[in-house]
Amino acid sequence: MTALRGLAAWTGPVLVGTLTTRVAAGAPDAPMLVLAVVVAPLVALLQPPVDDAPHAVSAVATGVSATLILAASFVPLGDAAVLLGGRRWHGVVLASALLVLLAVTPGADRWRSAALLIGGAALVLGLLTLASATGRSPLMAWREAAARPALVFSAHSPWVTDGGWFARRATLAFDEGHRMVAVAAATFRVVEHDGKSEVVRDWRLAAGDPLSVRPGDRVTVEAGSRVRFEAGKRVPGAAASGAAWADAGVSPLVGSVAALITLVLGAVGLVPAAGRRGFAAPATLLVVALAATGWGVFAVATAPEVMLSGSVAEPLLRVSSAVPGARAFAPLGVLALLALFVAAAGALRERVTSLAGVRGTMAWLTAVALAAVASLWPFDPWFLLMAGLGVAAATLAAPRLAGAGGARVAGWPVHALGALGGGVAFVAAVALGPRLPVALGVVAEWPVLLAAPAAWLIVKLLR
Amino acid sequence: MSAARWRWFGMVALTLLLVPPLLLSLVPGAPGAVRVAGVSVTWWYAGLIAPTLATVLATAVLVRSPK
Repeated sequence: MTALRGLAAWTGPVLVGTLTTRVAAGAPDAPMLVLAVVVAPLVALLQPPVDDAPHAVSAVATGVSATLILAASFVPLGDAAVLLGGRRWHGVVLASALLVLLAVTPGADRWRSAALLIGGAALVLGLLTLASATGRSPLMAWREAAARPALVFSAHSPWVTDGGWFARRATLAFDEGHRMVAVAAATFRVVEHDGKSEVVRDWRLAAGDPLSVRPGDRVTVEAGSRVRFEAGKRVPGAAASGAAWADAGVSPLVGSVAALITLVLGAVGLVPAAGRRGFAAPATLLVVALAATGWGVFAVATAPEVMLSGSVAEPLLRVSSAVPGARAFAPLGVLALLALFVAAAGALRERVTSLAGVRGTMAWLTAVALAAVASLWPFDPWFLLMAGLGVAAATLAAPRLAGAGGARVAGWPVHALGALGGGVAFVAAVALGPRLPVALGVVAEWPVLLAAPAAWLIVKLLR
Repeated sequence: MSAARWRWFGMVALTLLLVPPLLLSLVPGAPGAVRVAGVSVTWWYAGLIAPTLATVLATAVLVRSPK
């Protein structure tokens, strides 16, 4: 596997879309995420090559991890189908059919590196188009966004004209009075502040019914709801101002460290070591990450409401449409999503089939089917991605970094025993999470903090 | 230096690039929010300088890796 082909597993649509969305939202963890998205797979590319004999435990761990990451990758494509006027299952079925076709077509693997380059080129071309159409470089767009007194809906926003669509359940906090209009029948939970107490009301609205909210109210919107907002009003949930967006704030240290461990170890488990000629991969990764960040900057400068739906696909689909002069290039966002998906799925397929032996194709098709079905639910793709990376970190990376060599215990390779221990610890942390003491809440939220050291220790003690 | 040790050196150096933003978040007075040319120090580091450094470092380690 060349470095570029192996790297494709990392630069999937979820990671790229999440990067864009977090930057656009001014999330406190956005700067660290940009850095980690570049550094984590580079650490993986530099890892010394290992020649651990394939084992059933490692094969199952790889399959579980790949299925979770693939399910995460399906979600933005399902979201994109809805945003383009179709149904979620249209996008998922189309993407599944594409993967099945590539799996049964001889020589289709040749397209994987090309797909990554096409996806990256589409991101860069889209960014250049935005820069050209707005007459601003990303740095100028940043300064302009940071100088905005408030992030508001424009009169041309689809959230104002036709009504926006919520990909996931969301709770919106309003800093000013607002009049929302339900585009389709839906139920909204409004938490009103009445002096020192809170009043909770559930409103069942028919299509066209308005809902007036006051400053300080919180509205919970169910996944799939369609809502119109007023032009010129602040985007609920967005940063209070451009300056607040640019500051990004500070994210909690423990959560940041846990996310970094998951990303770095997950990458080590997922992305194979590069050879001496793998120098194109780091540069490609940097270009993709910076382009995704640039999209996020232009998103907040031109259409700050694109992160409202909760879909990581929306910025890539809607930002070009919001900029006069760039509308003709809006399909570049779809092309980038699709190409990065094909590249990522191809890399995951190679990981699964190389460990599954003669049943490789069947194992891969099973993973595709499971992932496609899971993605029909409005799961948060970031949650699925972090779960997949967490499994890879605990079962593949930690035993590998402990350096089992060829040691065996009772006929079992030590790296497989480490993977088994890590997997059991991961599942236990997830299952027992709600019952753990508050002090161990971070383990429930980030099971890799328990599972990866457990796997590492098992290998160290047994080898 | 063996190839494996050379690569471990690269992995550790890359991982160390992740540390400064974490330390900046602990320092009182939010020095990471200081603006330079309109962009905060944290964003300059995490969004451009460190990723570029990491890319150069990883490329150098790969290309100059002992056989």
